Order: sequence, then structure tokens, then C-alpha cells
Amino acid sequence: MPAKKREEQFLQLMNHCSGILQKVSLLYTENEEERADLLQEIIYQCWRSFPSFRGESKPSTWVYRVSLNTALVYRRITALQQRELTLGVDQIADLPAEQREENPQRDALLQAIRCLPKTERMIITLHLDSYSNSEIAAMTGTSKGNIAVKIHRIRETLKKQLKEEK
Amino acid sequence: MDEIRERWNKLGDEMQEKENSVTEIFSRDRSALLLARLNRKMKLGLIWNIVLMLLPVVAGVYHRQSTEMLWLLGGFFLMMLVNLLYSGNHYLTVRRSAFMQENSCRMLERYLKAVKGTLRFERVWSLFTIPLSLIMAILYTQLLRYDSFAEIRPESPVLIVTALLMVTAVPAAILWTGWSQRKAYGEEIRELREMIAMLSAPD
Repeated sequence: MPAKKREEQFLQLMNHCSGILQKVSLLYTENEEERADLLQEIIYQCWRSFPSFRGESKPSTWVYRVSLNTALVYRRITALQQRELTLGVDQIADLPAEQREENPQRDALLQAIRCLPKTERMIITLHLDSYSNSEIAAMTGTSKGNIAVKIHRIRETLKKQLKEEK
Repeated sequence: MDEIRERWNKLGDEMQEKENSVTEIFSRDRSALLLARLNRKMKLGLIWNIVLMLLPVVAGVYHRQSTEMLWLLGGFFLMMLVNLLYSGNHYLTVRRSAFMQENSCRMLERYLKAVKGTLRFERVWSLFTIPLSLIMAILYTQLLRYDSFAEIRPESPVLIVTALLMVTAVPAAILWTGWSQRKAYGEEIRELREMIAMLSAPD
């Protein structure tokens, strides 16, 4: 495929899945600087693996997989340089100011998800984006039954946290 | 719909609206992505070189009893090793410089020069290695028939076949090397040139 056409297809896909990229980069970082860094890294990794994308899975599933893997590797690398992500209520201030003021409900949800362990964050992100348990199991390398149990537990935790916030 | 999903969907809608930023990031980092693509292709070339180097090693193990055969295979191995060392050294240098320096115009120029240098070396080197490889292959088949170089006698059919291959297959293989390089790297080099021209153009 000519490079120009490939680039166009890639950009089309990236813009179509822009929400996924933004959400993953937001959930796995602590501040705006890191978020921009991770977003750039995800786009770079997607571009690197784009030639090997054969269209066997849905494009959005492929983008999700690359994004989440990149985010996990990114966190592992940054965790070596700084403490592990433990975002508290006060740290939500790291979100861009205009977003924080606009939507406190969204911030609360983000904060609750960001407090989850990395793998659980990955599972709930996929679940909330309507991926089936078997799809999540295939992407995370766990069993379908295990995913169902985990989703139930995570949802309970989130509900509890959101109730406390109210 | 439950509250969590409702909030999540709202977040998704907001994030989707940030569409332009992806295009912006991609355009800004295009040079880094292009270099990554070139690096990958150069790495692939090195892998092929290593695979070719394995052939005389395997043949050497098979013919380990014959000293003369080992000399012949050793010669082929050394020929490929020179190419690997030169290209490998260039590859590592450009890769390091691409990662360590800013994506400046000067760095891109240096990178382009290095890539072109490596490709030129491979083309020049192929002028020697392709005819030499043919001679070595003929000698190899002769050594399979005779026990040593001293016993090999010039035979008309072998000489005719060698001469025919020298004037047909060898030039074709040399031309193919140039063509395949253009096919593999042409587009990236053109893009790199465009990028350099864009960066060096006065505002």
C-alpha cells in the first residue's frame, strides 16, 4: 500500500477512535503533561503496528488493545521513575482546569477508575465501552468467568465510591 | 442505563470531540514516525544479511571434514560479515542519533546522509559480492565433485554456464539490488527530503 494512502487510512482510524485514545491516556496518567506524553506514545505505537493490522478484529478493538498495552508499559516505565499512581481527591487538580469546572461528575468517575489497580482499570474501561466479557477475556488473557466476577466487583467498588462522593 | 455507564458515555463524547489533537500530534511527530519506519526497514535488511550469513555456517558444519570447503565457505561468510559490520554500524549510529537528538532539520539531514551512505555502500559492495558469490557457488559445486581445488580441471560446460551467468544473472542481480533499494526506501527518502525542505524553508 502506498505510504500516503496508508497514512490517510491511519489518520482516519485514529480520528475515528480518538475517544479511546483520549480516555486511555486520561485514565493511566496523573497530570496533563503525562497525559500528552502517553497520548503521543499511543499514536506512535499504533502507527508502528499499523502495517501488521490485518483487519481480523474490529479496528476499535485493535486500537484499544494497542492503547492499553502501551499505557501499561508506560506506567511500568514511569513507576520506576516515580511512585506508583495513587491518585487522591486532592490530586484531581491535575486535570485541565476547564474540564474540572465543567464536569464534576465526570471527574469523580475518572478519579474512582484511576484509583483501581491497572488491570482492573483496563477491564472496566473495556466493559464500559460495551465490549463483551469474551472479548475482554481475549484481550486481557483471562477467563470469561473471571472477567464477569471482576466486573461485578469493580462496579460495586465504583458505585460505593461515587455514593461516598455524593 | 446505570449511572456509571451514563457518565462514561458523556466522557466518551467529550473526548471524541478532541479529534483535531490526534491529527496535530501525528503531523508534529511525523518525522519521528518516518525515522522509525526507515529504522525498521534497515533492521530488516540487517536480519536478511544475518540469515544469509547462516547459510555458509550450516554448510560449514556439514562439510567440516573438508578444509578447502571450509576456506571457501569462510570466504563467503567474511564477505557478508563486512557488509553486516558496515551497515550495522551505520544503522546503530543513525538510530542512536535519531533518538538522542531533537527532530531538527540538521538531524534529519544527517540521517538522510547516513541512510543514503549505507544504501550506496550496499550497491557498490554488491558489484563485488554478486560476481564473487557466483564464482564461489561454481567452486562449491566443483568441490563437491572433486576433493580439492588442485584436482579441479576446467570443463567446457562449466565454463560456458559460468560465462553465461556472468553476463546475464550477475548484471540482473546487480540491477535488482538497486531497484529493490529504490522500491523499499524510495518513498521514505522522498518524504524525508520533503520534510527537510519544509523545515529549512524561510518562514
